[in-house]
Amino acid sequence: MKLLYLSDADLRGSGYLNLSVPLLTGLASRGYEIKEIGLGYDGREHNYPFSILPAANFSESNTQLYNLIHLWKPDILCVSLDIPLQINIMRFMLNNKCQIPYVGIFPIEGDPLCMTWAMQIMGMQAQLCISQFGTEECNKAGVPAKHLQIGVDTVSWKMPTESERKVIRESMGIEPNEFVILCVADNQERKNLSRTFEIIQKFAEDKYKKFKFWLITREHNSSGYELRDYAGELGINDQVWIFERGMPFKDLWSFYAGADCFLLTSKSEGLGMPVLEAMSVGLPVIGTDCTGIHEHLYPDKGYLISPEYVMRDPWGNSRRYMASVKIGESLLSKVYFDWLKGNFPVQEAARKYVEERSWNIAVETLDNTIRRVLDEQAKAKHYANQIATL
Amino acid sequence: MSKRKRNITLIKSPRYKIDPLICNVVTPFHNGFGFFKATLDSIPDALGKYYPKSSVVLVDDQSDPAKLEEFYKGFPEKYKLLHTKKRSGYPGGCNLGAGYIKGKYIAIITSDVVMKPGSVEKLIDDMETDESIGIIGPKLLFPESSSDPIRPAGKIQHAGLEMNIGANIYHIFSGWSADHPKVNIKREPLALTGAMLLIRRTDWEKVGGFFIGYGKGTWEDVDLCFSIRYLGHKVVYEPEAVGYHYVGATVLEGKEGFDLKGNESLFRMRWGQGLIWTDWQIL
Repeated sequence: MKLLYLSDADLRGSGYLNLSVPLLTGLASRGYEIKEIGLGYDGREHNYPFSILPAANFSESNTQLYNLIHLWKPDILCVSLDIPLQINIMRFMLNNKCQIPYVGIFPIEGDPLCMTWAMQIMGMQAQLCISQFGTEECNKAGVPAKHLQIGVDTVSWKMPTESERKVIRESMGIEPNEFVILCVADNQERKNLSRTFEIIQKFAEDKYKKFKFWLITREHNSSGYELRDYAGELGINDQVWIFERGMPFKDLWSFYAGADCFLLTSKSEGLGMPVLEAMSVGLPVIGTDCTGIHEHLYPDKGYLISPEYVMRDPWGNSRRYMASVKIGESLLSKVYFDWLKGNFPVQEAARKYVEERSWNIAVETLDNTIRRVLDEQAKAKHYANQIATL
Repeated sequence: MSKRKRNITLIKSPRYKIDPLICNVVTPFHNGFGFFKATLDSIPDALGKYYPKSSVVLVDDQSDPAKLEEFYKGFPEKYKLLHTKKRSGYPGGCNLGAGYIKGKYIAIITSDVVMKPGSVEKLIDDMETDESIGIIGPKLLFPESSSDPIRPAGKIQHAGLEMNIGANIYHIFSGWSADHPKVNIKREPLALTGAMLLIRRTDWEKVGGFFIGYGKGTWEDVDLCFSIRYLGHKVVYEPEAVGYHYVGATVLEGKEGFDLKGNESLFRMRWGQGLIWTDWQIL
């Protein structure tokens, strides 16, 4: 079975890469021959059991798509990207008469799914959404999407031992009585880092609270905040440590392992992979009660910040949930006081939740979907031939 | 590849008899003495059982005479030294050296390549057992002593050249580990680097050696591979033959540049019709 797969594959760090690699590795072990058109992939070495072809931009990926459909003749195409990008690809394929069964994997970041998008993704032979929330929104809009439950590698994202934590914290100059809040989020509008800073500022009003805030982000993203300026304005510059994303896995895990709490105040989330990673490492997670975050933390696996208000995204059709600073700070303080007493009430439930999210489930779902689509195509062709001979 | 008429001149086979000497090693150089001794010292072991039957021709392309005299002292009698009459560049230097002694194969080894024991022997063995191979090249690595991040020590420098979707010919697997499974597959790449390659003399003379239109050099090696393929012979990458390439060492020492863009345009004018996207089958 030849699978052509198109997705973001920047090996320096990409949400879609974290999804693609386990899925494709699982499918390769089931006998699939796989070529991935990797947007952002720069040709560096990898040991994955599938091929990745570099594509610097959509022009290159579309050209490769067209050529591979005709040269390599894959059985099926699977695209894992945001919906607007998938619509562009589908349009390209229609204009260039590229006939191949199409399975789309995508997030729904915010509700509702607008009808224009819904109608267009109905053109896919199968739709797989990476969150239960997103799947329900698709179904509400009449799209028969199925949930692709994204797994967590709980072996790699393991809970640290006490000695590992001690070594990591000492190497970072963190004192034993210092509370460390971690946030892993891109510096862009939807991640709402300004709200995170405001919660931190309110938390810092109690001067006896000794803490640090570790933020892993793209500090100088052209469409992001001037983070240092805002931290200075709020008077929390000393507590805010900013690190650049794209670090090796071991370093990233060390940040999770050395922290005491994970905070994410996104206005909406398609999946929230860092939330799952934090839960796997044993961190209590505080997140906005919205979209993809809700299903991970509700009811007792983490702490949900009620939105202060809900607005329409200025650049799109979906809702944006603005986390309440007051509630966020109160939850942060609760976690802090629990930490001081050595209480970790949500840890067990959170860890159990992520352990149940095995990648085998996602691979099985995708494999079954592909086989179902091909089976339907074969039947349709058979019936068409029969009708033609009548 | 299309067999329609190309703008290369096929030369009739020479009337002389090809010398029973198996291999004619040609090493062109212009200064660059720093690495040169290591290159020359590696040749006997690299040739292995073929060394007694081989000749080594060093082509001095207008190097500093004082440094050259000092360097050449103490070399075996087997190593012949030729001088170009004027600055000829890599293609001209190789053409001169290759024409000096008529061995069955021509092994071109540039003065910044150090071949491992048995490596050139392996290439010759491949050629001897497969008459359809016209030109063959080894796996080349960045030197172990490299501290340059764009030339990572011990990693792949050359594993064949392929074309990407952007129509650029590039070194595939550059920077990858030398023992990665993908780089250790013997295959027919689009082209090979001229830093080290082995070619049949009969094919070399049919295509007239390197095209001297490339001046001091660059792109003449790719052009040669396309010419060999046009003859109907294979271009082969042999990963079991390994060497180290001190990339750019001689250029840095000589402080000179090459007309990369101009030569690329020339190459595309000569072979543009035959270019196809190849790396999708290899990556």
